[in-house]
Amino acid sequence: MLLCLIAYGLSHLSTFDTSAEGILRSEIIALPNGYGYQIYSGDQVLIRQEFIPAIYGQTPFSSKRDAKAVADLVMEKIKNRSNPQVTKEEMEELKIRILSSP
Amino acid sequence: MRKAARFFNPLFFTTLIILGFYGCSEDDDDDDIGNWVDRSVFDGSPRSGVSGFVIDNIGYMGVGYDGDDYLSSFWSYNIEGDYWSQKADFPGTPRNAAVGFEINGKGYIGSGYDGVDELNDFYVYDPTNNSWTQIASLPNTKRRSAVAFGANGYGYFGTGYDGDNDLKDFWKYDPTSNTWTELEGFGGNKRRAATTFTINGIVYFGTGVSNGTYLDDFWAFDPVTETWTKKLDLDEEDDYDVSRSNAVGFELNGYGYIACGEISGATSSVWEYDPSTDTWEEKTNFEGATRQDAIAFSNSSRAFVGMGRTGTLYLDDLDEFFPFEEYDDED
Repeated sequence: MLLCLIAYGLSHLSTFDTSAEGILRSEIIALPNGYGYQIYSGDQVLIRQEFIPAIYGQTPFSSKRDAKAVADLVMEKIKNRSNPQVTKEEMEELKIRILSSP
Repeated sequence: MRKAARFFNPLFFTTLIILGFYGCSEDDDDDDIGNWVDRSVFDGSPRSGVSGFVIDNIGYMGVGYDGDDYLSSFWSYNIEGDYWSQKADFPGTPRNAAVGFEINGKGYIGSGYDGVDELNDFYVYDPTNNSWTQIASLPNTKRRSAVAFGANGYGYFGTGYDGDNDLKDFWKYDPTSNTWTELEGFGGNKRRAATTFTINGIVYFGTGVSNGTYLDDFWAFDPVTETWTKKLDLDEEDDYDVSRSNAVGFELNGYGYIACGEISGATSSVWEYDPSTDTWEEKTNFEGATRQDAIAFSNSSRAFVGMGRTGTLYLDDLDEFFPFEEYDDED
């Protein structure tokens, strides 16, 4: 059952992009109170984001959609060799829902 | 939490770093001892003049300058997992050439340069709740390219450049009372872009530049007595080539290291300090590109050097240093 869950997660939650050097991909991770993401280059985790970046506190994303939107933005920046920092303004544009810290 | 942890374990294990190489292949040729191994490519914008600190097994770094902008984003590097996470933005003016130090599990960043002015404001980062709080500003000259270290429950800050002059004063920060007091007794010259490392509670201070002269004095500071002791000069032996500015200093397994930096151009040379004999030995050059204004993370058993710049090329990689391994150009 657990293996099935892992297999399902890997095949459905990852988005692959072979155009970048190495294979850059993101994976949405399930956390106790929400979602986060990991950005991979090949097998290596470059970035693991358990909490919403830039803001104070340890608040996970409230939906998979939000986590994926920010992960996509970060991957786009990495591909463009630009700073992959995420700003609060960008997250407002993406309409990321930020619940207050638990 | 259990579910999340299980979900990740198979992935995590593939990224764990295998350790245990120490001391396996000593060689008689001193020049070949010490090996650098590529670690996580930080896909942050290449940045230099960053500041940071290490708390437990996490290296924190942020602010800096990427060639276009002064930065306020702030990142953690997980030494065990070899990955980065973006943390809460630094709340002060984006800057470079700031200082970073750790006191009792909290990190401090302050002073620096925002592209126009030197700065004297300071902030504390609490990793337990991922938040920043402004603390008392240095009640004295605003400056950049200073040094700072945490020791014995206090922060110490000194030297640097105020925009007109190099400085030689030192200050002590007490986190309990949130106050700065001037610390007398440093007998060295004014300078900027010096570096420090701490071995067994003793802080070693040296290098830096003033008016185009690279300083060769070297000092030990005992935080318990708050006294400075002059050590042998960095040019004591004819073959020493330790003097430089904008270097990184770190401690690893009881030895001190001064790496990279600038001496009439960026350098990649690495020197090891043995506190028991007050002597220096050259190690394998840093294998990444030659750089200055880099950052070092050390948790005393592992050390990483990265970021920095060479000329106008800003760098974004991180290498782990294995000082007692034989040089291997394949890794």
